[in-house]
Order: sequence, then C-alpha cells, then structure tokens
Amino acid sequence: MKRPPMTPVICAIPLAVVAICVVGARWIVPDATEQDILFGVAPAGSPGHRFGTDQLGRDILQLAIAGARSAVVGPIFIALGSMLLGLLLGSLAGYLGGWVDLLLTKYADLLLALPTTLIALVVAGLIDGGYWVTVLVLVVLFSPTDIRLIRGSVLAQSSRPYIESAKVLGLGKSRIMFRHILPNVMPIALATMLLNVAFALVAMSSLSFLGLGVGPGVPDWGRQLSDGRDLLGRNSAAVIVPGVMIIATAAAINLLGDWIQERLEQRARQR
Amino acid sequence: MSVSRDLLGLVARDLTVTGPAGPIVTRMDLAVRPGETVALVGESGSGKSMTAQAMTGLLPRGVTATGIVRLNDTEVDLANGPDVLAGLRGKRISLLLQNPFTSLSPVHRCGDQIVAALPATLRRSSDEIQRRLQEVDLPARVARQYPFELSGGMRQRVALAASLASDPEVLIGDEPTTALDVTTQREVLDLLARIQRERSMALLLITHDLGVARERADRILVMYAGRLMETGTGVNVFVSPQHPYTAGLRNSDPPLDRRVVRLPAVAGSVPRPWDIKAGCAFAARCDRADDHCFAVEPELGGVGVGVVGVGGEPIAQVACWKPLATDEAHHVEPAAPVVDISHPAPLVTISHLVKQFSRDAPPALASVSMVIGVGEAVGIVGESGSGKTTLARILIGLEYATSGTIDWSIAGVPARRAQIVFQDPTSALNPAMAIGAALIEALRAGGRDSSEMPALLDLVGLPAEYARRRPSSLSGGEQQRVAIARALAPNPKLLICDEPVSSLDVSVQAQILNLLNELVGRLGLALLFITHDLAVVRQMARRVYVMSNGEVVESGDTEAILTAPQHAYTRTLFASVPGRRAERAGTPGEIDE
Repeated sequence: MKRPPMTPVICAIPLAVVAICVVGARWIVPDATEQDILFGVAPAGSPGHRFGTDQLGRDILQLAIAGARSAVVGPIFIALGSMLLGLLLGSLAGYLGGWVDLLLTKYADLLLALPTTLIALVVAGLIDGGYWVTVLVLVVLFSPTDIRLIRGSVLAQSSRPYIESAKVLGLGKSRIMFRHILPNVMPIALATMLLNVAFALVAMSSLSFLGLGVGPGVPDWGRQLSDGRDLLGRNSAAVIVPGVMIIATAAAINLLGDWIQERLEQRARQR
Repeated sequence: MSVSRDLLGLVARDLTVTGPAGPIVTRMDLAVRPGETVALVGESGSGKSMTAQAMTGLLPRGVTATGIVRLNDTEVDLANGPDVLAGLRGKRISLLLQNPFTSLSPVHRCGDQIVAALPATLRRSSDEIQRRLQEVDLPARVARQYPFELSGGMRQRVALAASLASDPEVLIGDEPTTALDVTTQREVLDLLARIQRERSMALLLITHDLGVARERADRILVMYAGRLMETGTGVNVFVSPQHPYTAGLRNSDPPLDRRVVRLPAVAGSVPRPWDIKAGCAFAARCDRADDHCFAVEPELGGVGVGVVGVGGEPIAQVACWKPLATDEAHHVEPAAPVVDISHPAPLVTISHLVKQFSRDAPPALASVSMVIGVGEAVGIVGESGSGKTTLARILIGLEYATSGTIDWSIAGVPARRAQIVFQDPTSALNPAMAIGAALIEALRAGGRDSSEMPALLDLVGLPAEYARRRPSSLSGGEQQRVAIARALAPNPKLLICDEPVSSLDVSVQAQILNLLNELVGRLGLALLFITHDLAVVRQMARRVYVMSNGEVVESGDTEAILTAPQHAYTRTLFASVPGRRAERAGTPGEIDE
C-alpha cells in the first residue's frame, strides 16, 4: 500500500481552514466588525473573547476569520493575472524571438529593476484607488519574473526534437505554440503561480499594514497587525493571531508549491 | 602466493540492491582476480551500473544494498550501510565513469584533479604528476589545462589518471568508452589493457557493447533484469551461448562481415527487475519457455554446469532450465544474396553544400555532394563532428546552408518530400500529447485523413489501443516505432534516420532495423540512414558515403566499401570496431599490441 505523501497533507489542513474562512466568513462570523468602543481592549482569555478584543472592542479571532477574504482573494488574482501576462508575453518573446523578444525582455528587466513594494505604495497612495487598484499594480509588478520564466521554458522546449519534428511536418507557428509548447510549459506555470500567491499574500499584507490597500473598517490581516501594534502590552493576541495566519498560509502555499515543482522536476528527469 | 587464489581480488557475494519500487539487483555473485578483466554485460535496466555503485557505496538516495564485498583480506558487510566502503572506495577500488565531462571538475586544472587523488606522500612531488600523465599517454602540458580545453578522448585519459592515482587494486569502468567515438574508444581500451597488465590490476568492465566485452574480457557476466543469466569466457558466452537470452543478444547484434536478410530480434522489451514476480526473468520473451520456467526461477549453475576451470571453479555457468545445446547455439544467420545495384532516377541531388557555423571555426560541411535515388537506401557513416547530422538538418529544412544547392526532382510541400526520425525517441515525442493525436496531426499535415491512424499504428507493429496512450507509458523501442509512424504519416518520398537505434538496447535495436528495412521495401521509400556504426549501415544501406570533418572521403556500394575500404580513414574506422578482431581470431581477450 502506498503511503500518502506528507507534505501536501500537512499543507492542505491550514489551506482548507483558510478556504472555509474565505468562503463562509459572512455566515461564521456575521458580526466580526461590530465595534464596542466602551468595552475597549480585553486581554486574551476574556469570557466570550478567547483571543481578546482590540481597542475598538472587536473580537480578534472573528476579525481574523473575516480578514481571510481580503488577504487571500487579492493574491490569488495577482498570481493569476501576472501569470496570464507572463504566458502571453513570455511565449511571444520566447517563440517569436528577434525584436519582439528584445523589446519584451528589456521591458521585463526594467520592471525587475524597480522596487516592487515602494512603487505599489506610491501608486496606490497617489491614485487612492483602494484594494483592486493595488491588486492591479501588483499584477504588473509581479509579471516580469513570470515573463522571464515562461520565455525560458518556451525556449527550452523549442529546441527539443519533438518541436523540430512538428516544424518538419510543416505545422503553423500558432499550432506549434498552442498544441506543442504551451501544454509542456503549463505545469511549471501552475506551480509558479501557487508560489506567487504566497509572495503576493505577504506583499498585500505589508501594504495594508502600511495603511494602503483595504479601506478602514474592512477586516484584513495586514491592517489587523498594524492596528494591534499598540496593543502588544495589553493583548498580544491582537498581533499574534493575524501574524500566525499570514505565516501559516504563506508557508503552506510555499511548501505545496515547492512540492509540486519537485515532483515536476522528477517527472522531467524520468523522461 | 600464500593466500588461496580464490580469496584474491574483488569478490561480491549475495549482492542485492533494493530501490523504492523493489529489487533492482537480485543475489549477484561476482569475482574479479588481480590482472583479470571481467565484463559485466547487460541492456539498460539490467542493474549493471547499480552493481558497481553498490560495490563502491555510491548508490543514489533511497536505494540500499545488502551482501558481502571482499577485497583481498578486507571484508565488509553492505548491510551496515554504505560507509563501510569509505576505506576502500577511491583508494583500493576506483571508479571510471562514462562521461569524462561531468566526472571531472570544470573549474580545476587537470593536474590538480590527479594530485588530489594521489596518496599523501606523493602529493608534493612534481615528477609524480608527469609520470602519471605519461602513463596515460598525455603530454605534460595537460596538467596546466582545464578539462574543457581537451578532446573527449584526452578527458577520459585524465579521468583514468585520476582514478589510477591512488594505485587501486581494482578498477571498475562503468561504460568508460561509450561516450567516445569508435577510433578513440579503441585507443582508450588499448590503454586500459596496457595499464592493467603493467599494474596487474583487476578490471571490472561494465558495458552494453557486446563487441567490447568479447574483445577485451577474460570472462563475461551477462545480466538481465537484475540477475546473472550466464557467465563464461567470450567464446563460451558468444560462440556457444547456453542461455536463450545471450543467444538472442548475440544474434540481434548486426554482423559486420555480411548483410543478413533479417536480424533475429528478441521480441518485446527489457522488463523492470521489480516487475518480475516469479519464474525466470526472461521467460516472457523466450520461445523455449514452458510452465516451469514461468513458475520457478532457475539458479545460476542449474542445469548443464559447464566446464570446470583450474581450482575447481566453474568457468561457465547458466541460469536456465532449458539451456541451448551446443549445436543449437551455433546458429548463424545466412547472408542475404547480393543484389545488382540498379541506378534509380535521382530523388534529390545535393551539390557543393557548405555550412559554416561561425567565421573562426572550420566549416561543418565543406562542399559535400551527394545523390539519393528514388526508393534507394543510402547510408552516411562518420564519427561525431563529421557533419553527417548537419547535412540531414539542412536537407530537412531545420538549418540553412551557407552555399550550395539541393535539387528535388519532385514538387510539393516540404513535409511530403522528406521526414526525419531522431536518435532519442523520448524527446522526439511531445510528452503532453497522446500517440493517436500526434499521428493524426502528422497525417493531416500530409493531407491525409485521420481515419488512417489505426492503419499507421499497425504499419509499425503497434496495437490500435496505443492511440490513447502517452509517450511516457511506452518503452524506448515502442516510442521509436511511434516516431517512425509519425514520420511516415505525410507519405514522404525520403525518410531520414539520424542514428535511430543508438539509444536503444541491442535486442530492441534489431526490431527497429528490421521494421525500417521492411517499411522501405514495402512503401518504396528512399532512406537516408545516418550512423556511426558500420555493422548497422551494412544491414540498412545499399550505397554508403563515409564522412569525416565535413567532407565525403569515400562513397560507393556498401558491400564494396565494407569488403575493401580504400580511404585510410575508412580503414581506421573499420579496424576500430570492437569485437571484430576477436571474431576473426576466434579467441576472446586477445589484445593487439
């Protein structure tokens, strides 16, 4: 009998919990953002508030559960969006070559040279667009690594004999691209996308910690961390709970992504 | 000699190697005496390299070994972990690997790499390094050079000098000449033999090349699916094999001295050792197998223990319930009748083709002219760097010629003129595409209907249900059949095969060669067969071009050229084919001076 591999099982547990929070927060914790300013800060272990409350009297745990949504959904879109850009521009650059390649690689290099978080800060602050503008900015800022990755994979595939056989058969460029190259690039693209979710989660949380991204009053782990800073002495759980959520989610996604990538490499080696 | 001869040298008893999926090597016994060369012969997956790695404690992660390894007076039990071999490996047992480019460090000078392996007392001596380089016929300047500055043959000499630096009692060569050209291979093998004799060193030669084994080894051990099938001297093993597998292996190896009607191939492909549950590992591919063979695994020795050598040691052993009798084993495939060479109308005429990859390098092709007739089988023979692959790539349109012309006598799209079959079938098939889809795509590219796909699979001897399978679930031979089917799909007039069997096992190689010969005859195709192997070209081509350094040095009827080569290069090539001299002399292990 084959033992199920450990890594994905261990990673699946926190990810399943987060997923439930994202989808079901409005039913599990309908009153998460309810304030009770008079009640004020309660330490962890208070009756009715296992992890205490923040200075507005909001329950830390309920807030963390409700905050999963903005912490996770944005990063998923960032990873998806930047990989779409990567697939589009990277395969164009890798397959067409010539000046298209030159232009796109220079564009990617230029973006890579920029300090990601700083640019996101400035842009999001300047146009004051909130959550989805931040997501959009991060999509653009995350895309150069994806463009380079896909370009490299496409180039690696292009010189393989089965692509040469396709050329000898006289198949068109788009057919070779979509039927032969892309299906063999997809696995690595998916694994990288997963890893990008973790990076984007940390990036988004950092931005909301700095007061950008989500609007005030919207539950979010990064904002919760930032709000809890002043409470460290009175209710340390206000910082620990969202902090642990960010770390656990990012770590689980990272480990899972690494595991998938390793498996893909193994499969590639066996070929 | 005070110690019994039995105890000297490298001995492995009951060696078993187990991987994550199950046993890889099952209860191997082997012995190599001082001054003796023993060849461990087997196809891919036979476990021959794993045996060497187990005896040197270099098994990959997740693979474990049990059994006893003894070197002269030192005995270790492998069950205690690979560290027990740390005192032997690299000191008293050295390993020489296949690829000198990866076994040498690219960032260290060759001299330093040899010095690092020298015993501590000799490390400071500058004469010592000269002496070591001299031993492997290398000039002193090599000590200051980096591996990438040297040719493949010179690199393997450096690797050999490094393996010999610790003055080992045993040298294990794991396919040490497989990556080399045939002429270089001969030089390195000669060198190995000389050094071995001078040092009276035990040499375990691991190889898939029957010719090398036959020519160089005192004794031959034949492995199959992790088991020893037969042992004996070269004569015993290859002239009168007792095991049907050994006989099949020998018969599948194309003969150099004649063209045969059909190579006697062994059906099927090599199984994975852990897939064998009971009975003889070869039973499924053996035409002599009965119920007993499938039920009970034969032990080495078993029936028909052969000659007993000096000291009561059996010289020939076989693990088979129904070994071949001597007269059965002497089967020789008759030569095909020499047919008149007709002169067909030219299909493609290549004139003064030149290819220059860079201005500084010598041209890859220097004015090559060639004609391939309609329905004609033409061979190109040459070593690496001769330009034979470049020529094929230009012909097929994957590369442009610097100058020269290619004239096709037929009109139509390029896809219907010529198709190509590459060396490595695994990378020649899209791993993400089902076999059927790949063939349908190729059929459509040639303007044919997708309904012809099952017939195409049948043409190359594959069952129709393979259409749904992915390339990774096929064996190498089956993958090559698919690649051939895809090349035939657009109905080309010329099929180019670039070393199509070089990466296949000998027993599978014969199947593919037979298939190609059959298809060419049946479909009236012209064939351009590119190979480094003279024996293979004899079976495949009626006319042959011998290429060297981008030039055609000799051309003509295959039979005429292989019977009486004119050009000096062709003669060298011919003389270097391993096993040829042994065949002629009738005795194995005889080494020319």
